[in-house]
Amino acid sequence: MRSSMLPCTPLPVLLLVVACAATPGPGGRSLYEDLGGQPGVERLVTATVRLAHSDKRISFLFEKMNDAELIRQLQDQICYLSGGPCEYKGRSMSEAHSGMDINEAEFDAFVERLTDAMVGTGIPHSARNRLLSLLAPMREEIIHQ
Amino acid sequence: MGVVLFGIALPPVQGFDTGSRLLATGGITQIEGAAGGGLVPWAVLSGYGQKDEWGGDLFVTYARTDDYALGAAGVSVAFGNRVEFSLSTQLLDIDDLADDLGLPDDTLRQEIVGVKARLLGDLIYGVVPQFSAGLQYKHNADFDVPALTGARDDDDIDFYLNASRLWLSGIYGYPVLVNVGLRFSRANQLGLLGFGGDKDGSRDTLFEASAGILLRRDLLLGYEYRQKPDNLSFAAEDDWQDAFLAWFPNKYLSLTGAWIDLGSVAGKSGQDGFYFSVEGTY
Ligand code: HEM
Repeated sequence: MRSSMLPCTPLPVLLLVVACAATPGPGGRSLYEDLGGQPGVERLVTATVRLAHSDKRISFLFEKMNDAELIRQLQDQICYLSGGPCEYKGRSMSEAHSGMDINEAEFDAFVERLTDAMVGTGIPHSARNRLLSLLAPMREEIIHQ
Repeated sequence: MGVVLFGIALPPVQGFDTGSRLLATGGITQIEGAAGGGLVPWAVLSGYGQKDEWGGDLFVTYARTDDYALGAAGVSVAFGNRVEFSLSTQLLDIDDLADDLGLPDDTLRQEIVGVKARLLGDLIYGVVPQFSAGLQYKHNADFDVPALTGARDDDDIDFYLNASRLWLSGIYGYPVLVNVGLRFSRANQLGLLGFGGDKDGSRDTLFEASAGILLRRDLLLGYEYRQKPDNLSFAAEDDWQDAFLAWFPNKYLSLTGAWIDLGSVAGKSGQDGFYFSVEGTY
């Protein structure tokens, strides 16, 4: 086991940085601003719902939906989560998705469409991932309800 | 599959879906056929299959250092994001060494059968990182040279344990992947120089790790480190490391280039060079 390892490998360094990385972006701007504020979030949510309707893996779940209502709720939620001046008044995630029995694959399909919507509306890579990292912890309350 | 092999710029094909897992979360294929980076397996399974889905990949890898060239190719299939099976073959060109020492073969070949199971956790979701355990049965098909160097056996099994995590928010929103693993192995130079040796015949516990950052949704820049056993007295075996850039233009294809540093291999020191891998995912 001869070692050519450098005295300090990048690995522990990365771990430290990850542990310290907070949510705000490089310039200390809120995620809400990086998403483009209210118009940005509205464009994003509208695009996401439209793409969800066109994805055959999940479209059936959105068929009977009132899109305007869903868009309004999602917009408030994302605005609120990203640090914007909004309040989310909708149902809890487990209530909102109850009876749908969304599985792991459908969840990922939705995240994929949401990501496409973020790419399509010009939200930068780092802001996309900061938003996804806020939504990912909700998965347990959304799948298999 | 023609699309996978030749369709560098082709968009996803209608009616030919990969699984649902997110882009790049199947990793690439490491040199012994398991899903991972180039040298070190990750805890993820190959392809993009989620629960109730299946998938896998085909890969071809070529690596070149000062005195050696290694080709590898293989296929894998994974079921339900639970278990992965792989078959691969490696061919090492040892022309320079064979000339120097008057060896009976100038290539060394081995076949590898791998199995990996996801034990618990998830790469991205929930609080528990993804943990997997795997084994790689390796059979050296050109054992004359390894036998001359003092290797004991022409086949053996490596066992390994891995934990992988992708932090989405990462560093300023650039997702960070960290992977650590332990391998229990007595394979000399992956097994291309046989298993066990005159200096040490038993398995060692070896540390493997990789870390990477998603610079873009489709671009992973990473570093890997792999500890190696040192069983043969004729030449010391060094740990390996590499820095790689993997590009995932879509869920059907990945292209990876790397700079590799294999240290001293079979008495030839300073073996650094490049590595290139093409992979098709289904
Ligand atoms: C991180 C992921 C998700 C978030 C943040 C989210 C958020 C929301 C919100 C805020 C509502 C409105 C609740 C209300 O009106 O009170 C909602 C409803 C809904 N969501 Fe999700 N959702 C997520 C994932 C999914 C997935 C994966 C699917 C399906 C594949 C889905 C399908 C639906 C449907 C069909 C409704 C309408 C339910 C109804 O009004 O009957 N959602 N979601």
